Amino acid sequence: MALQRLIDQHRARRIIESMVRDGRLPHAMLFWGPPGTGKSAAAIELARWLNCEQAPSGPCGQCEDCVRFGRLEHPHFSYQIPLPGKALVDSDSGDLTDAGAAQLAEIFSQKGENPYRSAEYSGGQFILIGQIRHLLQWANLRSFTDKPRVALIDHADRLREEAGNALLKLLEEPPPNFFLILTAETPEDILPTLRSRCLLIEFSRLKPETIREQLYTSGYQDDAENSRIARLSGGNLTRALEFAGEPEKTMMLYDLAINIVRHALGRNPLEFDQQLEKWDKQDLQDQMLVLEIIAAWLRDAAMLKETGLEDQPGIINSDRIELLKKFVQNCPNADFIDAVKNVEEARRNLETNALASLTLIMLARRLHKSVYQKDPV
Amino acid sequence: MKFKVSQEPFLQGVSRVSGVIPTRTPLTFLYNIHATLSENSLTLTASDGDVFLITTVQVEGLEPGSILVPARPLLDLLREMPGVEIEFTTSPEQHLIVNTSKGKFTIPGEDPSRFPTAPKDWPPHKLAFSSQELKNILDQTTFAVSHDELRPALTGLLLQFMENEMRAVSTDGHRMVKLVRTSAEPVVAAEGEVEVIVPLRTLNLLQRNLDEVEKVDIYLANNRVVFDTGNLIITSKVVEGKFPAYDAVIPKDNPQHLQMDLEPFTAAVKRVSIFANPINRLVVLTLEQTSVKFFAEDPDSGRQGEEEVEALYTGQSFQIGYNANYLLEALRHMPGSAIDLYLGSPTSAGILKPRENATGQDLMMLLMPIRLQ
Repeated sequence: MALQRLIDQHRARRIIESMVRDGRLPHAMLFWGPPGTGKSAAAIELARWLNCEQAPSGPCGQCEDCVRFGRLEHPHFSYQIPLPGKALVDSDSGDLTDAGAAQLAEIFSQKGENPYRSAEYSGGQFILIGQIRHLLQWANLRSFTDKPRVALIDHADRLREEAGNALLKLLEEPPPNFFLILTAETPEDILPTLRSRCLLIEFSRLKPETIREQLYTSGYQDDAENSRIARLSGGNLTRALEFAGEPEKTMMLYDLAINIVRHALGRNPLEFDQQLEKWDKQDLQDQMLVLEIIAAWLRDAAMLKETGLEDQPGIINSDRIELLKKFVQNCPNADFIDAVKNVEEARRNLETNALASLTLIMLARRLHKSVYQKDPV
Repeated sequence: MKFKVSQEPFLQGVSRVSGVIPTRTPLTFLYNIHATLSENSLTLTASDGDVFLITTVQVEGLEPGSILVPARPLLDLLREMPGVEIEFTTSPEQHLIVNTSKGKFTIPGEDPSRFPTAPKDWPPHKLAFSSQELKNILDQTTFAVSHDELRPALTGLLLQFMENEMRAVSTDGHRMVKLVRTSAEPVVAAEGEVEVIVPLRTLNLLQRNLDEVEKVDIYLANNRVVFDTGNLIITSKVVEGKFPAYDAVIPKDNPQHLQMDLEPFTAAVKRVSIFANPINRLVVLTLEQTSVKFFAEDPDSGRQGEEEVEALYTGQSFQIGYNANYLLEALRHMPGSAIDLYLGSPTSAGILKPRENATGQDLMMLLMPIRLQ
C-alpha cells in the first residue's frame, strides 16, 4: 500500500496509485470531498511516496526523505493554507511576520505528525497573492535532484481571485516533474479556469466505524465516547480528533447548539438572549462548529420525520434519539430541509465576515419560520 | 565536537555565511548554521533552502562532530567578545557550550540531520575570473533582470559557457544587456555547451562577498551554479525555464549612429527627466548632425524641460522616445567615458555600446523605445 497513512478512500487510492505506477500522474489534481476525509493527507502521502528513496515500492518511512516529510519540511514540498493578513508583512510580498512564521511552523509540525490534524491558521480566510508569488518563486527554481516536487494548496476554494489567476500560469506551463494538488469541498468552489485544468478525484465521508477505530489507535480508548464522537463528527476524522482531544469543550458546544435550536423556537426571548451571549464568546471556528451541529440535528430530524425509522445508520444524534423524536413530534408542520438550508446560509455569511450575533438572530427568525411556517412575534 | 578558536576568524566565518539565513520562515531549522569539525577544519554552512553558503575556518580541533546551532544568538555573542580565545563543545543533548577564560554560555542546538544538503561534487564546467572583473560584469548586467515572477526565465542572469566564450544576458522585456567575454582557452567542449539562469538573489549574495577576495571560479551544471571565492562556496539552484532567444531581438542593421560623451549625456537626461510624465517617464531625443536635443513634459502639471548636448550623429534626422529611468540605468552601468548609440527607426530597438570595452569583453545594451504619438 503506497499511500500508507491515507485511511479508507479505496477508490481515490486506486486511481492515484495506478497513475503513479503507470507514469501518467497529471501535473494538476483537485482532491475534493467533505472536510476531514483525507484530501490533504493523500497529497502529503503522495509527495512522500514520490520522494522516498525506495520509490516506487515505498514509502519506507525510514529514509531521510520520509523523515523530512514526517515534519513537513521536505525541500520538494510546498504547503499553502489560508492565512490572515496579519500573518504576513504585507499581502503582496507574502513575507511572513515573526508570529506568522512561528505559528505556521507549529501547524506544519503537527500536520506532518498526523496528516489528519487540522491545519487551520486562526483567522485565516484567504490564500493571498503573496503566498502564490512565493510558491511561484519556489516552483521556478530547478531542484538539485530529479525527484518530483509537489505543491499542496489546501482549501483552494479560498484562493483570492488574483491569487488564482497568478496560479494559472503554473498550471498552464508547469515546470518539469512538478505536481500541483488543490483541495476543496466541491469542484464548483474552485475557479472554473483552475478546475478545468485539474484531474478531479473524489473523497467520500469516512464511516463511523472507521473513525471509531482511528480514535482508538490514536490513544482514545473509551469505546462509548468514541462511538458518540464518531457519529457527531459526520465522517470527518479531523473533527473527531479535535473532539476527542477536548471532550469537555465539545460537550459544551454541543449543548450550546441544541439550546440555540430550542430557544430559537421557544417563546421566551430572554432565554435565547442567554444563548446569544454564550455564542458571542466563541471564536469563529467554534461558531462554525455550532452551526454544523445544528445542521446535523435538523438533518436527523428531517430523516426521522420522512422515514419514521429510529435506527437508521445515517442518524448522527442517535444517542439522543428520544429528544430528537420529541422534537419532531412537537414540530408537525416543520420543513427541516429548508431549516438546514438556512443554517448553511448562516455558515456562508459567517465565513464572509458577517457580524456573528446578527447572523444568529437572523438564523433564529428563519428557523422559526421553517419550523412553524410563520414569522416569530 | 570540541574545538578552540580565536573570536575574530570565527566571527568572520559565521558572518560570511549568515547573510543567506531567512529572517522569517516556518522551516525553523533554516535559522541555524550547520557546523562540522574534521581535524582542524571547521565547515560552516547556512542556507535558505535554495542557496547554500559554505565556508571553512581553521581551528584547533579537539574532537570531531557536527551540530546545528541558531545563527542569531551565536553572532550576537561573538560580536560581544572581541579578541577572546574561545572553546566550543557540544553536549549530548545537542547544546553548544561556549567557554572563555571568564564565562560560559549555552546555546541549545538541534539535530544536524534536519539541515538540508546541497550536492557535494563540483559541476563539470569551470571558468575563472578576477573578482574585480566579475564585479564589473555583474554590475553591468544584473540591473536589467526582471522581477516579474510570472515570467520566471527572466528573473535571473543567463550564463552561457560556450566553446571559446562566456555570455551573460539579462532582460526584463523592455531592455536587455548582453555581455560576451571571450577566452583564449576553451571554456567548454563544443558539444558540452551549458547554460543556466542564475537567480538574482544568488548574485546579490555573491556581490556582497567579492570585496574580500581576489579571484572567483564559476562552475556550471544543468541544475546548479557554484561560485568558489576561495573563502566561500556558494551553491545555488538555478531558474527553471528557457531563456528567450535573445539574439533574434537584436537588430542586425541600425544605420543611424550617435557618438557622445557619457557624462554630459547622462547629466542632461537626468535634468530633463525631472520634467517627464510620472507614468511613462518619456524623454524624447531629437537627433541632428552635431547635437542631440532632449525634451520632456508633464501635461498634467504643465512642466517642461529641454536641453541640447553636442554629439556626432550620422544618419537621417529623427525623433525617438525612451523611458528616462531605463535610459539612465543603462547609462549608469556603462563603462568608460564615451558611448555609441545605434538606431534603426523610432519604433525599433536602439543599441548602446561603450566606445571602449574591457579586455576580452563586448558589452551591448538594448533599449526598446516608447512609440511617439
